[in-house]
Amino acid sequence: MRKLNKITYFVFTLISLILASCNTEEPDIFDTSPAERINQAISDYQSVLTSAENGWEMDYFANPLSGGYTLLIKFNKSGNAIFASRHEYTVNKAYETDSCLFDIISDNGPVLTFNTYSNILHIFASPDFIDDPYYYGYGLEGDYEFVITKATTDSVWLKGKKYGSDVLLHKLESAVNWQSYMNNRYDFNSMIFSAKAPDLSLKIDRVTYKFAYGYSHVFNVKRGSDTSLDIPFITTDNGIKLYKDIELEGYTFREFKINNAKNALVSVENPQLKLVGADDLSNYFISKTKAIWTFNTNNTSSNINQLLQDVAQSSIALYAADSVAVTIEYSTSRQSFVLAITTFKGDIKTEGLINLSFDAYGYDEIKISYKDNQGNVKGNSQGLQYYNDIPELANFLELLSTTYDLYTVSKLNPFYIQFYKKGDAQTYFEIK
Amino acid sequence: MITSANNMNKTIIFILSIALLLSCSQNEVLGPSIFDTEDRLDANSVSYEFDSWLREAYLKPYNLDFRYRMEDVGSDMDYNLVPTSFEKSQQMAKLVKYLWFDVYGTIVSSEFLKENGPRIIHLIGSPAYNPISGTMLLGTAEGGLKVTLYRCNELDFTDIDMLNEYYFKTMHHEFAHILHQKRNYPVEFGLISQGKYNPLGWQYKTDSEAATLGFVSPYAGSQNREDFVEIIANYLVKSDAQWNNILNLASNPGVDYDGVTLPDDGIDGKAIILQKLDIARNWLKDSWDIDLEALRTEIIQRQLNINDAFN
Repeated sequence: MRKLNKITYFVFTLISLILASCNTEEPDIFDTSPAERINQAISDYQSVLTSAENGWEMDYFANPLSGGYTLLIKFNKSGNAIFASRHEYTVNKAYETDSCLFDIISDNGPVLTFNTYSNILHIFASPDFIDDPYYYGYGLEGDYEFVITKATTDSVWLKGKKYGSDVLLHKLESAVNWQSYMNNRYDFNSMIFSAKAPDLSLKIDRVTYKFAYGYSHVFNVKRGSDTSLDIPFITTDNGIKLYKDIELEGYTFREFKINNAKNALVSVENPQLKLVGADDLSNYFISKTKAIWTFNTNNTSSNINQLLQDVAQSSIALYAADSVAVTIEYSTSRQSFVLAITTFKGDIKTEGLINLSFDAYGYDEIKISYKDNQGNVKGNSQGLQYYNDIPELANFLELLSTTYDLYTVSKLNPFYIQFYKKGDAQTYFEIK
Repeated sequence: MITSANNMNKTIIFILSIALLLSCSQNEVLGPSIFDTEDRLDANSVSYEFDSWLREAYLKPYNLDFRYRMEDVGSDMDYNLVPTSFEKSQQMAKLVKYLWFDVYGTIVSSEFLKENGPRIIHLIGSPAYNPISGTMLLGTAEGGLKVTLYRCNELDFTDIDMLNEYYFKTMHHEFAHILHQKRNYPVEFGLISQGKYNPLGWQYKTDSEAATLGFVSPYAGSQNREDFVEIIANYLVKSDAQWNNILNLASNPGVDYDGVTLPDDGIDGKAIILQKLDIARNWLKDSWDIDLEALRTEIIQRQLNINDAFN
């Protein structure tokens, strides 16, 4: 019996060993090895990128908290990538082109690497690009190596390797002229954003959200004194696109387009909601008590220009000054708007102030006057002295004192405001 | 009974072994190779001419891979770095060959560099800033294999002092590390300034403060192995006037960053530096059969004719 058991066990072991051991064949999920697959992917992506005859538009975000900027890229089969852009960080904020070498390498997956330096892309990663101790050693913290996650013939999805931002490439139409394209984009951006532009506001039912710091391409979104959220965005041809969806009061927002009147950015997802800037220009002007407005003589009528010149020349002649500046500003000491005539002689600055009254006359309408109710001219002693000494000044003030229609190109950013004298097309001026 | 059981056991084991051996002999045919075994340069590549030049100038004579395309493999999380521009890469490659490789190649031999020189040079466009300590890396030499040169986008080949300060002194410095890691320098070297090294605060000393203590540079005062290579590197790249200036500073009391002259510490900085230089010179001769003075003369000569680098 024991012998039989032993043999039985032995036979069973043998059979199971043989059966088990030769069952190591697992079905392959792929037909080819990983190395072959990645080589194929690299080759495919290379074809897609170089196939775009006129190149690609890149929605570049240095990192998920950075503002977005458009870069144009053409990938050549020779391994050379040509870049172009125009934005806040290009030299003199002008249109710029540059080139560098690129490659698609395997890494942990296919990675598009721009491995020599380009002024246009690598400034976002350069540790000493910004001359500011805060950024020293860090820079703008952007990527120049991207994992390729997906590609079609018209779009490529990239993800920054170090900082993880989602960067998209869109194929450019062959008719697009790079320089015009970027210049238009830059001009549009300048029209709606500037460092001095008002915060934008979004009103949803009874609640108002403030969108501040648009100039930096990262909105700080705040409701009252609640904690805020930062959302980067990129400027498009006719609006803006947020880095990702945000939800406010149950509404989802991603893209905004400018309206015909150029005074609002309308939500694409919720057309009844929009971002607005300044409202009534006269109230806007009166509220800007910290602004200093200078006359833009290019866009000012000849009569006013002439008087401005005369006043300036007389000031220089009478006081042997080196130069003079004529501005409109709010004087906290005088608690009033003033016309400021400032003469510079060497290091010495002399300020003559004459009170000006700006009254909101109606919507986008304003009235300027300089004499008080008793018909007296008010100002600081220097200003009154100028008033006495310079006859053109009196004429100038007289000419200025009337009602005007106010106009600006886009109320989202009233950087330049034009004053058109009511009923007199020959008299107007622009201040900035 | 026992014998037959043993026989049975032996048989069992024997059969089991055969079964195991036979069971998994799958004859898998090897597929095509995934490696591109031909060492081809892509003639259509925009960098073909430069890559070909690198092969002739570096790879063949010195067995060195000159990597100008930056490799952020693994993405350095310690530093924010950017690549060198293509133009600067080419300038750098020519200069490094002229002012460094060919110097040792001429005075010693190209075999010497093939055996002891670095295998990889890696260029990086920006400095590697350490914002916390306020210092920046100029170069690193990892285990004798790879030399990384930073700040290459700042390259100005008309400014010799700048070139030496940021690149060539660094390369001589790093190479000296490679050499002394293979053959130790004399222990007595480290005893000369023992107790005066400061690994964390060296950057706060001025050149004069360091010299007066017997250190050829502030960095030499960080640790004794740095001291050793700094003596060699500085002596090699500094002109007579510059070298004498250091010795002069060493003979006088140190002046700190606030312009305050420190009291005389009783140390003869100049004598110490010269003593250290002697040890280094002798070590180079004895351990490597390298004539330090000959190297220096060759370097100075080449620096005067720097435009030859680009011909």
